[in-house]
Amino acid sequence: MKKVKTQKRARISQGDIYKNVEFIEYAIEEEGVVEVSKIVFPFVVVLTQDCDLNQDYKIRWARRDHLNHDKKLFSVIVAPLYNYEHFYNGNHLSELSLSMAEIKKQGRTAENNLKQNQTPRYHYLEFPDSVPIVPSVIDFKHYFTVNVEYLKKHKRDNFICQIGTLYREDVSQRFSSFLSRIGLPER
Amino acid sequence: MDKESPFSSEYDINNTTDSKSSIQQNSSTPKDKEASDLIKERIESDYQLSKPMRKLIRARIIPK
Repeated sequence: MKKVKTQKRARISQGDIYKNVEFIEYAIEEEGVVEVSKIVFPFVVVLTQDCDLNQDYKIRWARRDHLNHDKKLFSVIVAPLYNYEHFYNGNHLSELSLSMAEIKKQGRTAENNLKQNQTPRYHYLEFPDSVPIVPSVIDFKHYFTVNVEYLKKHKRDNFICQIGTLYREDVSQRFSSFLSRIGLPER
Repeated sequence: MDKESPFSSEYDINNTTDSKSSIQQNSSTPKDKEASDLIKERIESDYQLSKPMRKLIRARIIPK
């Protein structure tokens, strides 16, 4: 995949890539002390359907009144992008004290399948030289949601690019297919 | 086949490096080593920065 759009639109769009997006693990208050734990992801890609994002944008920011707020979203689905080199070595989540499967130990076939997007859980992406992101992997299992207004404000200074139309459809289709998989018992 | 230099002979002489030229004097000083270590440290920390990080914030609520 080497087709991206670097032109920033006002609204959040499917396939947008943002840097430094925060995921709140928890926020608790005890005896007057608030503790917030968050994970900062270097890059995430937006997976919510683009029509939903468009309708939300119109309801939320249009000046004219609407009959109801039926199309308003609470959050946007995103998934992290991991540096392929870290991912290959299984140490992409080492800062979170998690050791992950090492693709390098799974042989050449596993690596080829991954790079050709034949492994349902992952989506491999390469970027043109103009985009400051190294070859990366989206892990569909690690999707999370982010508040719409937070992400809209965050986009201003943290937008990197948007995955090209056809390629973002591919990501979206593979993500929905991964989510709707049916786990069968082994025996 | 020898190709003729596109530069004048004077240019070639002035720009030829030899053992006395500054280009080849590359013995490192302690200052160079310090700078090199700093760059290496920076590259390594940038590399680590491209991984997800956990941040913990604790704040006391001040009653109004």
